[in-house]
Amino acid sequence: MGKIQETKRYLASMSLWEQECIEEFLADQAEQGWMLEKMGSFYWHFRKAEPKKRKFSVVYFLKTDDFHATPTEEMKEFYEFLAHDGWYPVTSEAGKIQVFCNEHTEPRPVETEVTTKVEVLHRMWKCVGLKMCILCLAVAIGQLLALGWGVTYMPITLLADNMAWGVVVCSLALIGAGIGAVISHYRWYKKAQVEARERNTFLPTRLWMRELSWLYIMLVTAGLAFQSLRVFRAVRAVVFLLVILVLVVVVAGTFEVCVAHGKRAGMTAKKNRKRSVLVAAILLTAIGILMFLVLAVFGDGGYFNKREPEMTYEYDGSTFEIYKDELPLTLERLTGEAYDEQYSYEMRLEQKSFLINHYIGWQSPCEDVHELPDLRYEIVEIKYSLVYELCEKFIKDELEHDYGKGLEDESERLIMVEATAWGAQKAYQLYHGDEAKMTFVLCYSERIVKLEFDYRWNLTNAQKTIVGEVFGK
Amino acid sequence: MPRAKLQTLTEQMFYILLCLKEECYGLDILDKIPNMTGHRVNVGSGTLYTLLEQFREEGFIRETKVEGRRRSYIITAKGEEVLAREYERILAQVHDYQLTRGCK
Repeated sequence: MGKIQETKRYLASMSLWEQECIEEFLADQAEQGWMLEKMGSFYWHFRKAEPKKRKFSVVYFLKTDDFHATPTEEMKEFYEFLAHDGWYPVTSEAGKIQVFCNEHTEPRPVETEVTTKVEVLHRMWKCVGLKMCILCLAVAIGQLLALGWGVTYMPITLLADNMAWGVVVCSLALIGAGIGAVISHYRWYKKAQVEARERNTFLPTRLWMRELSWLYIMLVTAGLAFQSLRVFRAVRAVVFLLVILVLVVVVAGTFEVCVAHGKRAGMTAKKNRKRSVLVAAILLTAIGILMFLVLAVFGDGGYFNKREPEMTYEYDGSTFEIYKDELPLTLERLTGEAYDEQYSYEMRLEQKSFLINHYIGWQSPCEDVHELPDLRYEIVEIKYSLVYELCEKFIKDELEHDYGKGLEDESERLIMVEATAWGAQKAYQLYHGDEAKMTFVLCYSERIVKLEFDYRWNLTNAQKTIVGEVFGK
Repeated sequence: MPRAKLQTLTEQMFYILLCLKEECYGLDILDKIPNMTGHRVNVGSGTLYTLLEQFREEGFIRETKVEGRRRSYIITAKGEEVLAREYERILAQVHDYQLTRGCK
């Protein structure tokens, strides 16, 4: 004979704001012989009971919090009021949201006045819902600020990052949802007040609360997905995202367990709150450090994601790598000379977005060959002319203010030079005071190129023409 | 905005204040009102608890005695004023009704 199921769990899919919906659901369960025992964040726990018609009431009690081990004096006084009409608390929790049951078939309701019900719900929303909105806004603004910081230091890299745009869209949507939630609540509040006053009917909140909760979850998940895709690619990004979601559940679960343990141990609410928050903070910090290490090791620029070099060589006790990537412009093409094995050629597609492609290429001599010049360039391919000027500005600003190093040197400036020889529409050369440096910004119709030659180099017009042929085509 | 809300009393608010013309335990109001109104008006226990708290915050009532968790209250001068204003409003309504229907 199989064991009779004594308890069951139900995934908490209803928002705690849906008073009437929950009350109907619990009454239905009670009639089927399942009595609510505990309301967790993720699951509601039921135990077997005599199948019976019972009335339930979801009550918001503001003068407490979820950290109390036992009901406070005020809550006990409240219980006495409710007990007078036969209402008794169903769950052992002493939090702000509580469920009461009544064995009578037609008991006097806990709330008989709609205006008061609306006010209590409004105050409850300010206490809980508003905090959630503020948290969402803080997360979204934090994401945008992090990107804003990136824009200051590496504007082109960010402009070329589709995932960064994804984060922007999600963050803006989250801000919109947060503000929308506040507006939506106040609209409901005003309407509910009118309904209560003029028609003595309660305007339910369920129409917007549940959808909004899902929207929050979706936007935060999408934002996290884009953030992880910015750092990782493809499959690893999905794994990373799943890890983050699991960690969120772990932190929330640990917090719950900690609070429950504090209650069982009979801690005061203050001590329980402090301890639980501390445990969650330590756990979050540990996870933060762990994530940082994971990024350093498994991220795109991390230890396990390095490119395999063509060959390596030893010089002065260190190992150097040599790559043989195909470069659009080489010193060989400019000078007509052959350098054999004395150079490393690297070409990287840094980022690719719907707006721009960002490449970096360089040809650098081996460490043991000091007399040879080197060549570096950055190519920004612009897909929409709308961002052309912005890219040009970013590249120029980066050179003049040396963003990457954070050392602002005002004496570095770009001066417009004759562009025809380069086959470009515009050309700039970098100057340090009066001294011309071998750094150029060349503007072609669909790309902007930042060229850095060796300081010993003297470019001829013929070599400039070659540059124009390569980048201007 | 509870202040603005309490400028006009609802029927249940009116009867709660009316009960507190004499010192009374909060809980006893739950039975007093139905008795007073022939069960026409009923105040739920949650509603009563919230309203007593609001009235106390607004200074319409004051606490007179605490015995364990049982508290008794009585109406204040401010509460009397609000109650009288509500009475005047109801009278005006009755007057208007009678005038319109030619009952006078």
